[in-house]
Amino acid sequence: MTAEDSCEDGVRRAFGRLRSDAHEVDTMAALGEHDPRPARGWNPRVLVGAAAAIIVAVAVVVGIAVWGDDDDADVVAGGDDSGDDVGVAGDGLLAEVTGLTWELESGSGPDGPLELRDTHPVTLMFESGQVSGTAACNSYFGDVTLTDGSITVGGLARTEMACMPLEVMELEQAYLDALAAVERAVLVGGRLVLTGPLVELEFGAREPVPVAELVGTNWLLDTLIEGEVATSVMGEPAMLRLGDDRTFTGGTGCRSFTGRYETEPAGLQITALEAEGECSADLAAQDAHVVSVLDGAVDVEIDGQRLTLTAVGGDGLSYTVSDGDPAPATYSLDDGAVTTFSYDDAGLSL
Amino acid sequence: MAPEHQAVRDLPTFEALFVVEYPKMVALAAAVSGSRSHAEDIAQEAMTRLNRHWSLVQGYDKPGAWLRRVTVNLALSQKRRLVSEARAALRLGARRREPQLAPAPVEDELLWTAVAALPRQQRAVLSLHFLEDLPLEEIADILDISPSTARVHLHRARQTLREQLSPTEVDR
Repeated sequence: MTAEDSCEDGVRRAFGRLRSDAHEVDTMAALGEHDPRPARGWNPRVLVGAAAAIIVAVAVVVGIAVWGDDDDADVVAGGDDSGDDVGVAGDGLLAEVTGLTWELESGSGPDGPLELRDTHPVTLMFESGQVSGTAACNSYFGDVTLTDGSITVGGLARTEMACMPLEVMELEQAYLDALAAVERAVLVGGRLVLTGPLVELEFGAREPVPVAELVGTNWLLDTLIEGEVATSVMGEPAMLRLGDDRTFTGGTGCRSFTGRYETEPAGLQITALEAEGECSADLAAQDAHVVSVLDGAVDVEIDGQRLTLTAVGGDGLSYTVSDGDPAPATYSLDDGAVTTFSYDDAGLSL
Repeated sequence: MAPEHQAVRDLPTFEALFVVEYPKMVALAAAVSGSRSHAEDIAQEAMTRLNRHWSLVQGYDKPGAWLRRVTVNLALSQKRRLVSEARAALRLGARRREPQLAPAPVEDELLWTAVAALPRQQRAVLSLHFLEDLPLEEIADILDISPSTARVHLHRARQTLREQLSPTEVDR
């Protein structure tokens, strides 16, 4: 047996002993300490009134979670069940808040301040008697009445995605609990403030970001995506421009290329990619990555000013709209060395 | 019976999952946190959160993966001391059970010291690998990292343990 095998066996045996020790723990006693009722905030609930019943039926059909607590049920019951006149035509506040995306900038609920996370914004929109938005992790929607500064939110439902770290889910729950409890709404200096018992939510209006056009835009590559790892881009500005004649031109950071594309429902089919030029050794891997992604079918996603192309295997390229005077999009340390970064649940790793 | 009725009937109950998973979460919490005395509190807290989110999690393909991720996060979190204290406070009036997980055998102490000194992610990957024999893809899924990253963490953890532990110290 080699030293490596011996070490491996030793580690395996130690973990095995731990596993055996843990099985000696009195599981039934531990289970007995649990309240078998699912806790507040995630129970399927019985909603009151015809409007609430419709919400439940819709939720069952589309596979989303409907939740809340007794307080939520009271809000729904105390609101207008007819569903015909949610919102008030001609109400100045309603007109002011409708059509904008409101982003939560600070908030507190019965359990204290909400710990907001830049990576998981909380948003709120008003439209046709409904509120909707992103609650840190999941999308949500519900009914709203807003009359003369009095607001009632009920029938909240959300999608079922799980997010990590757990604090994101806790923020989501705290926010939705708070939103279900608001009673007053006021606009102060362009900020929307919703308040209720032990609840205050303050939103700012988010400027809408125009969505760039895929064709005819000068795109500047700033990130290479390899599985979970994002890598910064080196070398010359690596551009990409798709023409309306189904050809494209661009660069890898060291070589220039041309090619043809066809639009498909989910993205592009790229053909006839031809690259010319030479790459130094430190740019060869980047060059190979760009060329490999731009070969065959790629998914296209445009989020505002950002374009992400993803190949079948999951590798991708992420571009931003070039302002016409592009600088190399590299991330440099103080000594000028270019670095890469990755992000996982432990945070940002350089 | 219609397929959807079959699916509903086959959903695990919280109690059934608890009985199967609790000892595993105690072991996982002990390995990842490095603390046998806190392991049961961490596992209990993970189970409490599972209970709180049960209506959501029970519909997942792998509720166990969700539970493991929460357990690992709690075990890695510096909040575990606060969790333990909060749970103790909640038990006011109730008799606090003494931890039942036996202390580590003397022959394993050096190994657990070396494991506790590993970087957080390496400890998590190593524990899931050796405790549960999970494939790297599943470990990666639990920890929300790529399989290649999980592979690197496992490789580095093994390398460190090999460097720190002589064969005679672990091969007994």
